[in-house]
Amino acid sequence: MFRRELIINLKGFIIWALVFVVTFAFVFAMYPSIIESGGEEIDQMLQSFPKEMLEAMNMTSISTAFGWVSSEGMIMVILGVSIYSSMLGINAVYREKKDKTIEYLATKPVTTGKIMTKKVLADICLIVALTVIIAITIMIGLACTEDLDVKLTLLMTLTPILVYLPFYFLSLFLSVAFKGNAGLAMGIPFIMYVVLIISKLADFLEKLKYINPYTLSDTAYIVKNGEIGVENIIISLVLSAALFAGAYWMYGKKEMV
Amino acid sequence: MLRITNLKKYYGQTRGAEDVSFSVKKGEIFGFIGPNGAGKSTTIRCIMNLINKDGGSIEFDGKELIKNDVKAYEKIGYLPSEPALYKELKVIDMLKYNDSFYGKDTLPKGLAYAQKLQLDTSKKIGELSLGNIKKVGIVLSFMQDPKLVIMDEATSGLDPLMQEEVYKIILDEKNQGTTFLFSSHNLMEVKKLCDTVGIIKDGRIIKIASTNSLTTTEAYKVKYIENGEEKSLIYKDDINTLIKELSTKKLDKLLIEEPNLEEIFMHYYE
Repeated sequence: MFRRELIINLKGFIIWALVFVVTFAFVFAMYPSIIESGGEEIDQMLQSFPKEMLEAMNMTSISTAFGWVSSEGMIMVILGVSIYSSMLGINAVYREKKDKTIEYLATKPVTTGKIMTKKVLADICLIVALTVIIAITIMIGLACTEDLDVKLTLLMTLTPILVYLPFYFLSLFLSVAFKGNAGLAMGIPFIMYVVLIISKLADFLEKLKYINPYTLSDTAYIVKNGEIGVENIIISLVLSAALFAGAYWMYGKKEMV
Repeated sequence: MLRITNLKKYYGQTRGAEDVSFSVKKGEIFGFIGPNGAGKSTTIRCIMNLINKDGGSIEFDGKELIKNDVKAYEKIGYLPSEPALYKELKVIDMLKYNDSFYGKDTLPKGLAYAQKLQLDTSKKIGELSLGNIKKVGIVLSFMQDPKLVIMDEATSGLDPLMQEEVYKIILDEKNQGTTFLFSSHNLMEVKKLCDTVGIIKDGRIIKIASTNSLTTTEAYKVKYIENGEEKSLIYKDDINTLIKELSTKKLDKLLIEEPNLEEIFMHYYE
């Protein structure tokens, strides 16, 4: 079942991986010429924008390749892989119900718990694999364009797993509790991203960030301090485990067809 | 082998099964008949724990059949009325996937049955006709040598030649000791295959009898033509009452014959 789940999702995985690899390859190929034709002017122009807006959009310096990756590049990656994770979470057990194949699977000698666990393990492997592929692509790109800080780049590119896991398990939970759909999978990461931007715009909205999985991987903080923040690891794992436990319990109780 | 007692299932306010009770003995083929919406599929889905029952009990091999009872479900083969299988898989891969759920080599039997039913195992499920998907479903339901096979509309969508092949498989399996719960609309095949018949109406079992006793019943079909109009009735009680009743009519023609299973079935429904 684990192997089958990997195979079913392989096509989507390859497409997502290709999108990121090609996008980064293009950016890294173009970047030296962009910098030569006025990278510092772009940074100076950025300084004229309000500080809150720059923080909200995670814009610091884009006059270096690392600067661009750690601001715009990682936003694209985190948002994209969060959507991918949510889609996997929504479809993990809901696809079988939608395609009616659950009538076959649930009548085999296998528990509902095992069905869910194997699907979840396969999906997590894919999320980790996509994250590693993106990390390798970024490292190769940075190594080709400027000096590469291996530790910092690894931290920056791998830490978002702490964001992807809660999104995955939230979608899994919602798909079991309600009927899953692709709109929900796309919607949750987008809505949460908008909430993140709003929370950075004004001090009185700051508390909104505590209900947001994106805060579990703060690229600006990682670049500045060279560390993830242990509390982020704990929150991500506890949140994911709680959502998984809820989904697991409900799935065992629910009617299969 | 299988005992259903006072099974009850409601979908919100809608009745699925009201009070279903019957037993399937070891080695027999129990025909489960009734029109659409009578509660056949609801009962079967409760047995397979695809839906949660609201009351009653379902025992298999003397033990309450509960969800996630892996050992019990290892011994039960199931064919839904419209099998939904993985369209992207080839038939051979579907058989291999099915084999992976059992701790023994079930593939040789799967391949042998696929050959009997003239299935092209190199084709993808998505490329198959509904009839051929049904055949794959039939193969899957027998692969692990189940003790009990539950079949919901086993031959619907199959051509007559294939229906005959499926009957042969079912009777072969029965001879080897397999028990069947066989839901069907086709009363001819019920008569041909089943040892016992249970008739379900409005969520309740209204008649359980051996197929022989049901078809060699003391009831008779009385056909008559009155004022040019052909009428018929199933008659069972005192013959004098019938004669008295008929003497009040001006008959042009009278025919009394044994009813077939279909007519008996209709009798219970009218």
